[in-house]
Amino acid sequence: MAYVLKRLAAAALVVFGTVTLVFLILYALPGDPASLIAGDDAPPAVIARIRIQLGADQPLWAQYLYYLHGLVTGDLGRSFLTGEPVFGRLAAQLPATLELTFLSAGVAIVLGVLLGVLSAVHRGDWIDNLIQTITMTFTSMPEFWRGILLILIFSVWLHWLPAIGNGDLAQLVLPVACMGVGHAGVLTRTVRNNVLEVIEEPFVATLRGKGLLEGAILYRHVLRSALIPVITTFGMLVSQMLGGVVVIETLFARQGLGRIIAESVGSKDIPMIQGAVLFAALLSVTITVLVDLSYRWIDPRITL
Amino acid sequence: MTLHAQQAPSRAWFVHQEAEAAKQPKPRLQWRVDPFMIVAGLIATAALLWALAPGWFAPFAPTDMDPQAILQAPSHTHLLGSDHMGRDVFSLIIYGARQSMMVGVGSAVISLLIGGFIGLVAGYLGGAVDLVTMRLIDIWLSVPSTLLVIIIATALRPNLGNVILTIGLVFAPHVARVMRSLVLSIKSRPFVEASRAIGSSHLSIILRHILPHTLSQVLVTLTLQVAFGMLMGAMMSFIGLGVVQDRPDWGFLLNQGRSYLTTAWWFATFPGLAITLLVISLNTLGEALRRRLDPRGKAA
Repeated sequence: MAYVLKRLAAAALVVFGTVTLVFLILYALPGDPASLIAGDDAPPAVIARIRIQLGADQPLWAQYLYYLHGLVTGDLGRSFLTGEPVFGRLAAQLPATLELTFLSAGVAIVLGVLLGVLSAVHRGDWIDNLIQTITMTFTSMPEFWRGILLILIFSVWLHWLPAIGNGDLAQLVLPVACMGVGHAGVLTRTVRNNVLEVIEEPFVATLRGKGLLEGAILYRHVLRSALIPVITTFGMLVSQMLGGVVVIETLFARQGLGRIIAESVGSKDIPMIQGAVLFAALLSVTITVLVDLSYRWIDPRITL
Repeated sequence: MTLHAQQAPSRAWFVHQEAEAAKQPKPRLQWRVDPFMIVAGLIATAALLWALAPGWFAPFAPTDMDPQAILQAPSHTHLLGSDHMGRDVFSLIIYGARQSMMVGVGSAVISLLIGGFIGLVAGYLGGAVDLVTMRLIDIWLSVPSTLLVIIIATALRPNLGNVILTIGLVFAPHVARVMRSLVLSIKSRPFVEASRAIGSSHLSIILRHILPHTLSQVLVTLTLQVAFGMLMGAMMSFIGLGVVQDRPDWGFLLNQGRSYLTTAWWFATFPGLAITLLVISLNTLGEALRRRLDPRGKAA
């Protein structure tokens, strides 16, 4: 329990740090948000008006307090573009992003574990080499190019699946495949290395000595130990995916958090960008903490 | 005299390392002639040459627009087809190499300088400095890197320098972590202690003993960071945060090609293939380098 509290306190610190970081980047960097919004040739009077609107004429600490107050009360400001409250728009589009992220993480884990074990069992032979080459290729591809190829093959040429939109299940297949398959590459490597490491451990020799079948050793004992680090990787994976949705949702025209970010970047809608980035970042911190806590629950030897 | 004494421990260590190395089976220490590595090396060299002198390799100028040849499929004249303005896709890719490589290499160097310095200071000083630095890095890393790149780039003006700076800054903490753990392990080696015992200054210990020992790892990190930087740069161009010029980079080409997927598959496919092949090559080379520099390595 003391551990849980300690971990939560650390997480609170990270959350606070993240919130401050986002503020500092958007408000304290040399680029003046007012002139960015107005454009370079806008008359000074317009820029000055926008600056007052933004509160950018006030000292940094006052802006910071105002920003914190807004966060605590769930007020993320209003969109520069449409004037709608940022929080409402984000909350409405969050489920689409969660759906995409968790399904993709699931696909990545299933694929990663299967291929990783297969690769470890066949260490050094052609199956291992093939799997390693394929995963290396997938991790080296830009995510959006992988998506474009999927659209080309399955939508444009084969007409099997819809490329864009969200709503029904068929529309989820391509984006989930795109994210899941890509991230499975990293997992495959982790699983392979873990399995190979655990196989060297003395307890496996004991099991062999006992006369247990190789298959039973692998699936009942080795895999169980080898999978523990995979759970930590899961947190990292989801965090990376929450960044990746910007590209995937744009490519597959899905209405989610990432799409909001990509659109707001084009229109320099700073409150919207700030809100969406905070949403995604806080989500990723939350998941990391949950994973940390479950990690300890699964493997009682771990003390942090 | 002091100078000589200062060098002595490290030389002795090298002799020791050599003796250790000699015990290892020979083949492990030689470059294995791996066909993958040769191909990777060739691809990286080609991209470098394209970046340095695109005019020598490209059949057309990047501004050559041929109204007769709009969105033409790959043919003898246009090896990889032509785009919506009748430009040769192959030539555009060759001319785009410079920008993509500059983003990759530039951001890798920046993250190495900033991250390397932070990691060095944190690892060498230890204590409260280390603790605070690592906490700050944890916060930095808790935000998905794509999102960090996006908000920093939003706050800055879109030019090449800022794109490079943004990516460099975002990856710097990763490098700082690697550097810190390296410094920590080197710091505790006997030759550093010996050097301190004979009264060397901290600066001289860092310059003479610690930095040289990080070089090999730094080289590996640099190679892999170039690959990361290129991917991130392409992502930025893709969502419209990159630099728009008359010489579009690969990410920008890919984004343009996306609008013509149904009519011209080659337009988006080949720029993406260029990025992928180069990134795979850099990763392969980085891995090979890691294995070569760490003969005891687990990677084998």
